[in-house]
Amino acid sequence: MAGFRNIREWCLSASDDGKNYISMFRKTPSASTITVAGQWFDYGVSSGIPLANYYAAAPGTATYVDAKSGLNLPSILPNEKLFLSQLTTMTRGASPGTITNEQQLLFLCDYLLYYPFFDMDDVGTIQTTAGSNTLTRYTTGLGVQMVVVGQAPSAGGGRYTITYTNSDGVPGRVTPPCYCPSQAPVGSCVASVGAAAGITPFVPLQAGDKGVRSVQSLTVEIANGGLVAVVLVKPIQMGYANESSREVMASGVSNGDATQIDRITMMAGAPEIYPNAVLGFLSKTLTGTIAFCSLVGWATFVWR
Amino acid sequence: MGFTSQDDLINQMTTNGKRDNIIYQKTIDVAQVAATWTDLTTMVGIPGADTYAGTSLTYVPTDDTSLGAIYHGGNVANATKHFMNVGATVTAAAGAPWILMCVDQLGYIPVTGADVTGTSQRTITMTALDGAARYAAGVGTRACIVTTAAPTAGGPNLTEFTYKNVGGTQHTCPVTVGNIATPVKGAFTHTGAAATRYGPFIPLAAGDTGISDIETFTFNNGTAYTGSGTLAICLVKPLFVLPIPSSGSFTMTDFVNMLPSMPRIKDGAYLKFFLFNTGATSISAPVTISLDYAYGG
Repeated sequence: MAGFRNIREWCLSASDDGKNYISMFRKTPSASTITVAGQWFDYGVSSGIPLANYYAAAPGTATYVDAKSGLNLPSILPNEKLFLSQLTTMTRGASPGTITNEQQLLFLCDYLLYYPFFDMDDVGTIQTTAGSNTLTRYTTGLGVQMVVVGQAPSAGGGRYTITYTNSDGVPGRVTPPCYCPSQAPVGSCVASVGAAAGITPFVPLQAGDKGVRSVQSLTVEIANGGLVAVVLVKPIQMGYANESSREVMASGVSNGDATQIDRITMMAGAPEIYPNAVLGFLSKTLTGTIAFCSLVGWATFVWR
Repeated sequence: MGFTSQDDLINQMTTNGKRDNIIYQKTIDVAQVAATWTDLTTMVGIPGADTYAGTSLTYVPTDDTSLGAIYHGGNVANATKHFMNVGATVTAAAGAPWILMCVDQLGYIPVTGADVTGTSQRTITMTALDGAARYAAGVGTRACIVTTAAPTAGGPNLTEFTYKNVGGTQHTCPVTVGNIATPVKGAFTHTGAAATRYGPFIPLAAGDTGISDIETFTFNNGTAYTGSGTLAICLVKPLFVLPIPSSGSFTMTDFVNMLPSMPRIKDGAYLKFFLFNTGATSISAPVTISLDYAYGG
């Protein structure tokens, strides 16, 4: 039977049976990724380890996220299950004095499906999606969220709604109006609740809905500029990157720390990682830009 | 036998004195490349550097008496030995944050001369690990390719890497792995931030949990290495990982209360360390590690 019945089985897989895997990451947003304090950002578009995902496909076409842009995962047997065991995160400052990358709130997500290149200047047009690809994981859409990721720089100040099918299979569900932040570099999450200043990672759903199965269309009510992709993700775990790791400064002072979360002793209930999962990070910066600051760390997986 | 309780652990360590400390210090004598892994065994320090001597393509088993090995008290017979805690620091003008990994190396395969620069399949001479190995039939082991002397030009693709898994079934690495050009001493050739790089270890086929025998490999396509560089294919069992967030800070982890607890140091284990460089770790950077171990039984 797949899974772990007790601590002993967990430890055997993690230590003696070889059924454990360390997957490291190092993602560095470009120098032009000038995020603002409180803004969410999709590290998936950043270069590094794993590779960047550019959400490049035909406009509005349901496309699977390339597995190469997710954390490297072990290939396990069909009768086994994979679990996240531990997550360690650090953030590297762009320069000895960089602290704007500190205190990042992180969401580790499984990236499921995306619909790219919605035109945020096309006011009033119902931009309909296309393609036949459907969710291959979390297939009902229960718990699946929408993230709107900027693909081209935008002016901000816009407003839009998204029409989708919820996790009960009901089509034609419409989100509340979503507001766009005033500054949105490529990779930023272009959504907020109520006002442009309140930036959220996930698009709020229609009342009563518990998830998204597919996206039907996006309608721009107020022009925002730029292009966006609507990405379906399943949040897996929250994390944190606290202090900026900075090089030795002229005064001889250096800073930095690591956040480690163990899924047995610290957060009970290790999440199962489904086959072919594409794992990546959303980040909220509390202090300022993360341009050229690396998110570094590793995730440990065990299976049985 | 390990420890039967916390009381037993304390009693063994204090009353019976079954504990000791290891100090490990290396100086990174060649500036490393950002986003690559480094084999600290190639660096000068305490213990001394390993030269990965041997006949090209012939497996060399290693234990705690081998060159470059860390002494950890010798065999403890029926008792089992375990890490209690680890602390580490790196002092460098650049490179932070780092990730430190401790492994037990079962052996290595020197790759020298035309075996580095050639583009045809190379056959390795190695007796498969069996049930008597430190990790039976290689369970939990992984392979990596380290630079012991920098070649020039490159890098070629590792288009084929064939091994036998724990069950003795022959498998091949499921992907083509790219190697870096002109890797510096200590660098893992197949790591970095570019496409087709995989680190720290060469990927295994689906379902495999270790390597019992490394059979063949091929460097082909890409750009072949030239010059007189040498490499080593290392077969290792990962033991633990530690973050080092900043230069000069001392990061500690206690293994008694973490899960899985107290990584085991097998009799004869060849302990060594790998370091991931987020940035380009500066030359002359010292790496200092302190480990406590204990054994019961």
